[in-house]
Amino acid sequence: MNTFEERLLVELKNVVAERAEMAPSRRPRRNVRRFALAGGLVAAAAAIAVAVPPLLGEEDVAQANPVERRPDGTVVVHLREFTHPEQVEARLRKVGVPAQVNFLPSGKQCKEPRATFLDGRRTEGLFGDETSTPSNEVVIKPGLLKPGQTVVLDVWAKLKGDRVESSIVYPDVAVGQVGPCKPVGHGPVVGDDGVGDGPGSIEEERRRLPY
Amino acid sequence: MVGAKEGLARIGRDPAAFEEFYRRHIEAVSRFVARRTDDPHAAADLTAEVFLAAIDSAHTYRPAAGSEIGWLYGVARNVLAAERRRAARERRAVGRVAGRRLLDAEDIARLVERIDAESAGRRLHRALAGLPEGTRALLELIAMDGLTVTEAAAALGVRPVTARVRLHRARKLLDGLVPEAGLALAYAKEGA
Repeated sequence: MNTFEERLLVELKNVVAERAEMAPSRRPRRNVRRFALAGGLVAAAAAIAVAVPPLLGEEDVAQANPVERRPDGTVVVHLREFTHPEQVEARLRKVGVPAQVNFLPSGKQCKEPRATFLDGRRTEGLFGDETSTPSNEVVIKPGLLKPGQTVVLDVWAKLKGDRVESSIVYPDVAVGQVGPCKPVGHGPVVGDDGVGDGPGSIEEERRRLPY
Repeated sequence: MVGAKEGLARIGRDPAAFEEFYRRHIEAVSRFVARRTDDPHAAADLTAEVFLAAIDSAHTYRPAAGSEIGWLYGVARNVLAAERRRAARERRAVGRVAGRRLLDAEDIARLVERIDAESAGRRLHRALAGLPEGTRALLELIAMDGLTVTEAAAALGVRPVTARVRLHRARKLLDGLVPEAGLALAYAKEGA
């Protein structure tokens, strides 16, 4: 470290020492709202007086891919089977989320362009805290969707016969018309631990380099 | 040694813990900043601001969300984005610790050297400027700052698989557009 960096360290340690002397409640804090609900769905339904009733009755639980609406309005798609994506779309429409859901086998992708997609920053928050969402769930905050926007869920599975060995969901938002998904090749290849890339991919290009 | 989560949370109230954290990351932060500014005084201010932001938000770190590095780079990105917005409104960045007033002539010379050393990164930064935001943010962190895909995903608050799919989609955009990015991506380490 050079002298500037040493001096900066001294000043910053003073800042930390001052903070340590402040009572915890007086330390400046970010406003972090937490939506997490403890326990299962039954507990959630009973715990809080709700303006919006939870939408997951007995009949829904038996469904292959139930769509749950939590008391705070958050919508959660539970993905369990790779059948009938149109049913998932219908359930999402019922809770106010226009959606296109595609179940794609490993190595395939939807032919582009099929829509204009929002780029990453502008979908921030819409899909909840993605890093802590289980990989077989999609969290959607319908309040953050604007008119004319459609949630597009591309879901990949590594299939062994009929069985889903592993699956990945890639959520995105399209603006305006969304064309149908025509599966074509050169899509992401699903490995045991998530998406890798197949032929023509970043990994393959790296392997081809002479370095 | 305490677990990572406890260690990071303590940097906001334990000067010794902060010092350890600072020494581990000062060079990486300084280079991150040097790739994004060509003025040594601004670089000094921004370096100070990044660590101040880390002190203030250490309590929000969640180990499940990814590595310490990914978290810190996320903080650094937010600081620089906020500074860009301030600069756009033509207000000077004034923090509790104004880094620039700690500079002497030798420090400035060293910072200028560091900025020069990162000039390739800055060229890349400019070349990436036209890409869609989500993809550009990822590529910056991977191609310019040398993060793994997993670390970059943590910095942006997305799942690693989301990052990989975005990169996959951007690959065709990149072919021919930014040769350095393509090469740099070829070296992108795949972390855990």
